[in-house]
Amino acid sequence: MILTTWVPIVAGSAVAFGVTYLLVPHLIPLLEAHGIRGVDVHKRSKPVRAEMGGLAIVLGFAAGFGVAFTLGVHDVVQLLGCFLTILLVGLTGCVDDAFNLGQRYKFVLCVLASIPLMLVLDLGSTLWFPLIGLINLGFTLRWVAIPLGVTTASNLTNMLAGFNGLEAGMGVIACGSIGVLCAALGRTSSALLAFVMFAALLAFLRYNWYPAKIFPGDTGTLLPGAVLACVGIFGHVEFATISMVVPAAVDFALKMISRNPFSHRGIYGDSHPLDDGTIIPPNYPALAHAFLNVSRMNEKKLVAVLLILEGLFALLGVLLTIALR
Amino acid sequence: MPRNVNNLGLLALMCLCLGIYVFAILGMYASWAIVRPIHREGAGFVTVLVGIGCFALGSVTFWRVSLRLAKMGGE
Repeated sequence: MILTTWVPIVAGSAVAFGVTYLLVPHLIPLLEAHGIRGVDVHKRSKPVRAEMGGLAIVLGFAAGFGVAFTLGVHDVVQLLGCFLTILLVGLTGCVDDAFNLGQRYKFVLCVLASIPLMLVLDLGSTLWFPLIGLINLGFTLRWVAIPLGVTTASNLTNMLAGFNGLEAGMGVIACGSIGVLCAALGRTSSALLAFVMFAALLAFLRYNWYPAKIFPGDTGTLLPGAVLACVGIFGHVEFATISMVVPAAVDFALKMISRNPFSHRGIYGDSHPLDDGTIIPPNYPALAHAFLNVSRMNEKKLVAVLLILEGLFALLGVLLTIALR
Repeated sequence: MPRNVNNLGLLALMCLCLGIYVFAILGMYASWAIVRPIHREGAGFVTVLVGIGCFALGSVTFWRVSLRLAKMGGE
């Protein structure tokens, strides 16, 4: 029983890691040749790097999931619904990288991407929170909470980004933690999704870590959020999922409290790196800027601080879900 | 812009970020405990709304504290 459950997870994760790891070096010259590049604004020399590396994560995830699926999984219909939703969100990211979509279009496309998940998951009507227990949300849980969850989580992980290794690193921590939680609770189908994405992100992190050779682009930043939402909803670990997107949600809330929340970079410009690597943040509220305000930091240290913060929230989410359930 | 409060300031900000989280959960718990005896069906929505409100309030406080800490550091 244990063998039949874990063999697809381990094999799928290994394939996802291998495919992503091998694909990225080939993808870099291809993307650069097609002019899909971005400027690394937090370096003094402003190097230009290949963007849309999330494509390798999508392909690695799809290959890993395909192998796991072939080896045999439970909850076939639900897993396919989750897989479709994740792929559609990835596709939304690709379109965004290629055509630079506005925020509202991304929002609508993510809502549309959540339709497969809405159709295959019947969650009942209650949501669990620590100290409170089950909250009855009626029919809105399926028809409102699923699209809202997928859209919100994807866009939140998309907003707290822009530093070498941050998006992939946060995705690794969040997907790994929620995978462990689902496995501990015996929800192996949702754990499969989390671990396969964890493996793909880990392989990508090798190339995205400081100094980055490739950027994930919106394809890579929307994906971890979509996987978290799918796993959280499918595995009934919604609270832990919410906990893991708290740093991104704080960043979002901070950006929303200022004027023109979606055009900060156009108005205030980018961060200004000094010769010693220290970053001077532009003058608008954001989570990374708050940390840069209180301490002189280079990009590497800032990413480490934000990853520690993400780790703390992931740990809290996992512990509270296990201890208070 | 002043920016040299160092690691203690970072730790304070991290604790404050965790504080927002605890504040939102406690706010949700309080609203659940108050509203549920009065209106059982609507308590869920009120609780979620209060959670979002507490979160937004906490985030604003987080930003203001970070600016205050930056000023304390001076340059």
